[in-house]
Amino acid sequence: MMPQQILKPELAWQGMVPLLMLAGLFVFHFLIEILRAPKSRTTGGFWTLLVSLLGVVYLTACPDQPVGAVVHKMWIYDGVTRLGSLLVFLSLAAVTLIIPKSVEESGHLGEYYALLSGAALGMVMLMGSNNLLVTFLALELFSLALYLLCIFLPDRSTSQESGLKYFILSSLASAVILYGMALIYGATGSTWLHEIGARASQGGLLMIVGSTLLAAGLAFKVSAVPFHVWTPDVYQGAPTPVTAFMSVATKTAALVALLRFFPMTLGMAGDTHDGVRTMWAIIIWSLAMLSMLFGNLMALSQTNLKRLLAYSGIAQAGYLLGAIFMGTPIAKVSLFYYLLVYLCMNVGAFVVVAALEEVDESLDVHALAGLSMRQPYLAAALAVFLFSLTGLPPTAGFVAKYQLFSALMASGPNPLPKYLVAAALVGSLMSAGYYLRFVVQAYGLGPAPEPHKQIPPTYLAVIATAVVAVFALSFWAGPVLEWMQRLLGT
Amino acid sequence: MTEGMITLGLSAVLFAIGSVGVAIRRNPLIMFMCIELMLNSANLALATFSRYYSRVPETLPDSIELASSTDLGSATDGAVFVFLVMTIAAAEAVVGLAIIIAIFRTHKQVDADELAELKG
Repeated sequence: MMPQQILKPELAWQGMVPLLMLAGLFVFHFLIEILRAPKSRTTGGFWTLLVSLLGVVYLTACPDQPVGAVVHKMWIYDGVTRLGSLLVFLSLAAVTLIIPKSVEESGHLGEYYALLSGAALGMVMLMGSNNLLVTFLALELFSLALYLLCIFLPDRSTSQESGLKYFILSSLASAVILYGMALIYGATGSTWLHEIGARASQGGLLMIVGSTLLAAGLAFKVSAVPFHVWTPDVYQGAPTPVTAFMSVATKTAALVALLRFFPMTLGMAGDTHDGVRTMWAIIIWSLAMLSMLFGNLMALSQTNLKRLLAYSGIAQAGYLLGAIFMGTPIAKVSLFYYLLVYLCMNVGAFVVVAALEEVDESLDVHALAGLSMRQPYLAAALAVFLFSLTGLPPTAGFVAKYQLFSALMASGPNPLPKYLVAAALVGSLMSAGYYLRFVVQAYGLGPAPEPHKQIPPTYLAVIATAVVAVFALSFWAGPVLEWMQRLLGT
Repeated sequence: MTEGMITLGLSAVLFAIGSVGVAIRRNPLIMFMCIELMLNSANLALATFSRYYSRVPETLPDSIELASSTDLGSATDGAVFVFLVMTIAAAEAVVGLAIIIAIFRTHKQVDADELAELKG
């Protein structure tokens, strides 16, 4: 991206619509919670769903949206922000529809929706941020909301444990990010990303140490190896819809932040052999490599479905970091296509987990035996999502992986991306082992059907939508990719 | 030794103490205090750099390479950052202490090693 584009001066209010929508929703939640009659049901869910769907419509359908910097250049609204926000709005809509009974009975449903909107606001802020200050504020905004969402089940001690672990480790990551930002400011005298980019190459040691710290902190939020230790525990302990939201939206936001920071500080630094640039490339490359290999390796021994999805999320983060390492326009398109597909299949899989919890099914691999007889629809949907996560045709997971690998292969003489493809192929083979194990169990023989327990209709609606999307994104991959390419201006 | 070098060194030492503390202490309250220490060490670094960019010449030695020593660095960027970090640290304290209190209510203790139901 060229600096002239970013510095395009003021912009009509259209560029701020996603921010304004979420900020308004966040504040509105407090208002309706104060004015709500005691013991009446909160209307927060309705408003959250309405705003997130309006946001999705605005971001997909509204033509001719201006591209440029808003709020005194603090925030950039471009194709990257637009696609990233779309993913956050979509996951917000899905999560609003699946409310576990335990959260509903806690009597704090209003706060739950408010915290979800706050987290979404922070993520959208982060993705368009053009200033380290805004980046840090946004990171903290969504992190603080997520800590509280993690401990939302007061009667379950694993929920509290996961909340505490997430809080301590994530605050540590925030502190590391902040120190990195302080050093970058010291090296360049500015907190503006475009100014940092222009001066990065003369930053010397301070700049190198600072951006290493920043990269490490963001890698924590993406849950890349070796900063992944928190992921399985937090994902397992948190309420399942919150886990779904974290696994997709947080990952999207942190990856987009890396995507914005990576070329902005480096792409225009001038000399390609400059130290900062090489160091960043090596960091991102090793994070991608380690996550692909170790994420898949550790997933092999998992017996709990929710933990398995956590480890698979680590491995998927590795594939996505590969696209960020490439940084070419085609790699960016494949990154967003992969994220969209990942949203459908991962949220879908987590909603199946939430539905299983609602009908008191165990998530252990051995207890899943015979699921196809007890819950035929859930078993079929689970199979579709796990096939797609493996990357088998005709699901969209296959197309996403294919796009990503071909973007990595188009690297010319540079061999580094090709090693990533090799690692990703090995990883995908391993992943076939552990995903299919769960599908085979679900379709194996098991206890005779119990009296049929009712799954809430909203769960089924979200699952059905996700299944349709997983196939539709595969059959209409061409138009979707073209649309993304047009938005990203490549 | 210049004034800037001393405060920068102090900030690095504080950051190191904080990160070691989080790694070796098992009480969430102490771990949390260490994180606050790390945030404040970053604040100290920001304040030092902000002072440097406000053209106080003797604050940093020549051995630290600053890109913009001849360029226009902004002193206000860092100064404003310090105040916002203070606010954020306060917000984080509110959320963190609330989590620790909620856990103490159910478990009657908050030792990090005793909270180990989730593993594998």
